[in-house]
Amino acid sequence: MAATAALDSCIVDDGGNRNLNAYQIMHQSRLLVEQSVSVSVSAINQMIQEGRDINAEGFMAKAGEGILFSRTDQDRWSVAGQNDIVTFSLMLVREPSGDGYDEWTCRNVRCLHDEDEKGYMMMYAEEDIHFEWITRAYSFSVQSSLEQTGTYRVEFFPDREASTCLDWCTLAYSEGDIQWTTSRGGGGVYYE
Amino acid sequence: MRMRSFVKFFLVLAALTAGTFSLPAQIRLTDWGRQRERRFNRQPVKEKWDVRINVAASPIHAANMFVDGLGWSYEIVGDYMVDDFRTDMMSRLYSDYYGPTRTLGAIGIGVDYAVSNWFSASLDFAAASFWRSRYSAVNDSQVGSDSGTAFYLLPRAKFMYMNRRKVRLYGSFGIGAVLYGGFDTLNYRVMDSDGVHFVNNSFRACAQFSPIGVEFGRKFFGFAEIGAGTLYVGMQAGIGYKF
Repeated sequence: MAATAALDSCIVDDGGNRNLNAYQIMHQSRLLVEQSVSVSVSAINQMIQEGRDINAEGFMAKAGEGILFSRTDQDRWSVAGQNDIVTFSLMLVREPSGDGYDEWTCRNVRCLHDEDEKGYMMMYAEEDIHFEWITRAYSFSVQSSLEQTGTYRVEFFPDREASTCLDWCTLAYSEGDIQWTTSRGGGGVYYE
Repeated sequence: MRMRSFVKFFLVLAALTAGTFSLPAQIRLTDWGRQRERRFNRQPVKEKWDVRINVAASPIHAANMFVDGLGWSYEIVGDYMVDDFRTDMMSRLYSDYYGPTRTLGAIGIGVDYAVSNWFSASLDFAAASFWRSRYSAVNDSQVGSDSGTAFYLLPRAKFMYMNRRKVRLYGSFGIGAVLYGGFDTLNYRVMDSDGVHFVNNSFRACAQFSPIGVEFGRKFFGFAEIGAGTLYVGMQAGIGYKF
């Protein structure tokens, strides 16, 4: 006991795993959503607002992000993206409005972040993700922004051979605010 | 007549001289004089050198260097630090982590030379070792260990506030150099148009300030001082020998 106490008194830093915690898992999961779904909807919406043609058979809305839109039907696109960060696919449906504030629905969302031997992250949405315009009034201004509602699940596989994930995170978006939970505990509401 | 005046003058002068020079002798011979001599006796100048063994419990600066390095772990491209957190999310989350970092403190030897009763020149050589275990974030098993040693060479100016035979008070200030051996956190890469360069920050300057310290003892002495700086923050103590 004396030896243990002596060794404890020699400690100058407690150490511990500062990188892997509930908040970091939530943060990395949110990044996946932003790098795939959010950037795709934002890109095509911006094209509309700039008056560019979105009815072509296929076009790159954001060449730098490697996002390809393939029109499958009126107001429907198949979206695929591949870059250094993510590989993803989803179906995008537009709900046009007469005032220019179109609403969007994403279906069959799948996203992968692969770091080879370091492992990979997989994101999917079992149900539709809906984007709508939310107007917020402030003291001196009124702002409208395209916010999403829907639930994502992100799974973390540090071992490529493992059949089950080591960690997971659930992100439930509600008009942009995020209710989150993780396998490492934590949880709460994240306000964008 | 003149001869008698001369003799009188000489006798008076001789008496005065004898009286003046015998006064300290008269004082020493008295009890009060002996006490006064003991109380205010100064350290003999003949013991000009001393050697010391020092132990400081809190090499905090070196501990921070060992654990956190210079405070960043990014690559530097051109003149900018680059932190591409998006492409290495898994690496960041599941990188190995470290357990508690331990040290036995800074242990060293020093030598002082008394230039005068109020000023000494000092030279300290000290070392502080750190060690910690490394664990896998995937399954929390130990996968390795890490260790490093900081070596200090610290010349100091020492000022004696009080210098007595059995007790001395002093303050000191020093500027020297420190080598952080095995501190991997101090090294990083720089990329520019000429390619990849490895920067090593292991050899650095050090400074130490101690506003107050006490030595007690004659030839064999103990000492304790408080201070702050690169070598330690808090207290340093030890034993020494004067010769």
